[in-house]
Amino acid sequence: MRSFSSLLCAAILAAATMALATITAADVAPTEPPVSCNVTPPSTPVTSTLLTSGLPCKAAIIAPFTIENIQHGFDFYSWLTFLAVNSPQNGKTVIGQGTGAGGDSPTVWQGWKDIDSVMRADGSQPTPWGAPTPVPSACARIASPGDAVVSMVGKTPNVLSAISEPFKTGPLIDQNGNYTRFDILMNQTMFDHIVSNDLYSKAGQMKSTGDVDFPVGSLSAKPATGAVTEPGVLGSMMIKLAWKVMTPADSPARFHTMSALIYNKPVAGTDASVKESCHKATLGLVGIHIAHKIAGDPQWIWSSFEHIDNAPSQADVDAKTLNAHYNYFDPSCADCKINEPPGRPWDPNVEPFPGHFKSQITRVIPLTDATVAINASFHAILKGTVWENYMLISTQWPTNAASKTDPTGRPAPTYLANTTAETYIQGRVPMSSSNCIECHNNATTTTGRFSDFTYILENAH
Amino acid sequence: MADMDTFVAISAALTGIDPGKLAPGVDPIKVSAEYFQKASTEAPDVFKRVLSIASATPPPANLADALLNGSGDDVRFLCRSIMLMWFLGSWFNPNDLKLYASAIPPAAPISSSVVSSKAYTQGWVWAAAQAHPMGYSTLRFGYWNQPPVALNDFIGA
Repeated sequence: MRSFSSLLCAAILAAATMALATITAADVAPTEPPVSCNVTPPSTPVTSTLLTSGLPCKAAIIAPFTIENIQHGFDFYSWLTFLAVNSPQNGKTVIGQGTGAGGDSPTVWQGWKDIDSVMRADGSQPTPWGAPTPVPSACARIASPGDAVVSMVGKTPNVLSAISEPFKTGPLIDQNGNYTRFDILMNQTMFDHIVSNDLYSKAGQMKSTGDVDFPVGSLSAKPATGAVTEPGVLGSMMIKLAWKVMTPADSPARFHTMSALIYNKPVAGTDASVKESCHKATLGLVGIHIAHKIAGDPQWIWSSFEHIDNAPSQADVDAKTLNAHYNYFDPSCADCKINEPPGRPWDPNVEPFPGHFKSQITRVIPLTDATVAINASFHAILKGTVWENYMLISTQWPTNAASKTDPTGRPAPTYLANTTAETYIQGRVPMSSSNCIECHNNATTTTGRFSDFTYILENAH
Repeated sequence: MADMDTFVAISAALTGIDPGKLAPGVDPIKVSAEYFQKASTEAPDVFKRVLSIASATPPPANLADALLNGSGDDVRFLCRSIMLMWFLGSWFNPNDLKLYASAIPPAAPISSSVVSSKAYTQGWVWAAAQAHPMGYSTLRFGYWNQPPVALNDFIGA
């Protein structure tokens, strides 16, 4: 059973929507960092007013507390989060009304810290929040202000590696023969906790004697009344992004794009031998995971979105109801092996992938009818923008967050895979198929201590 | 009471495990539905009798005793199959159980089949031992260095 306290808090949160209307500035307790939390309940009609409703600090869940209704609450929360983190970085323009194709513009998270900027190769303290992303020397000659740096290769292909996917299952190759690129970013709350606790280096992690415990998002409550007030506290957030290299055949109006330095780290080892290189490319967003640690749900909430053109479901393939084009599926290829990674060697300096290999990907677990419906609602208010081309796959949340016997909190749905990030571990096989919370429950620091559901700290030097 | 609720009540009486643990109100796994389906498909007529015994008015004072000792062999051995299914995630044919309970049981090991991969991970024998099935654990890295939490947290209310 979902813990009663968690549900009570959620119910209070939902009720706060109305209460907030009567809160004055004098009622607001100062908190750091102060944010205006979006407390829109999931029963709210999806209209354009939600486009500027802001980032939820916590999911608003309302009765009845059936699994379907709670799932709807978290999916609604995911979409609100999607709108907020993909809103223009300038803080003024409405999402989808930027000056780029399809109203695109640099997003909020493009100002967040990427993993390589925090877990630096020399173990040094990261540059302050807001400082430009350090550019590798191999990229210096071609770098322009504002370029993101997307690293390609980890020293060891593991769950954070840019070249391969979880468990060394292999890279994802798009229909142009190019490698899919990945990046991991964190918000300031998470970054500040890492820096202030010296978690960015092995030496710093060795000084720690306990498990890592990142700050949670919550609303503030007035001690006297327990009423939920604003401002609240934004919890730790991390985002994993998947990108395809844009070509003249790709329409910029269908993708959120950014100019990036594609940096291939040198790798010498048994898995691959990759020479250091750097080049510039325009990348199109094809996948986005958003994880947020919120009060009452210490397992974090995991929201997964994809580009709508990525791949058909297996049911679509079986029924032959296919679109003309996908990013990772060729409808004309009858004998292409489904959901199989390319053979080795994997060297991202060699593109297109040798042998004309292109990944032939299908979605193993189709979206639920409820998710399809909520996607349609939000697409309607994003119509004509690049953002109507992204869909929620699902939101994973703990059904029993406070369980003493199961630290994963018995997640729902049990399996959740993004075809761009967990391509080869889709399915419903326990401990093998993709389950965000269950996998990240195993994450540790370099000293073997629980790292609070993130593999980022494992990358300390 | 709906048949599923009756089945969960029967299962709790037979296993001693809290019904809220067997079938949580918010349950993404729903192994109880698989077990209900399995028992009702494998032995439909006897399963109906089991449900009717549990939903009688007034209900039996001791449901487990009524099912295992007061309703005949067909009910008794189906209930044993249901118990084994909850604990082991495997289905044992009630007729086989009958045979192996005889004075001269067959020499060969009794056969069984795992209900599903889900059922394998949810076998209550592991929780009753404060452990986990081989190859599947939701406990964190290093858990083996800590004492397990209390038994009641695994199987109690």
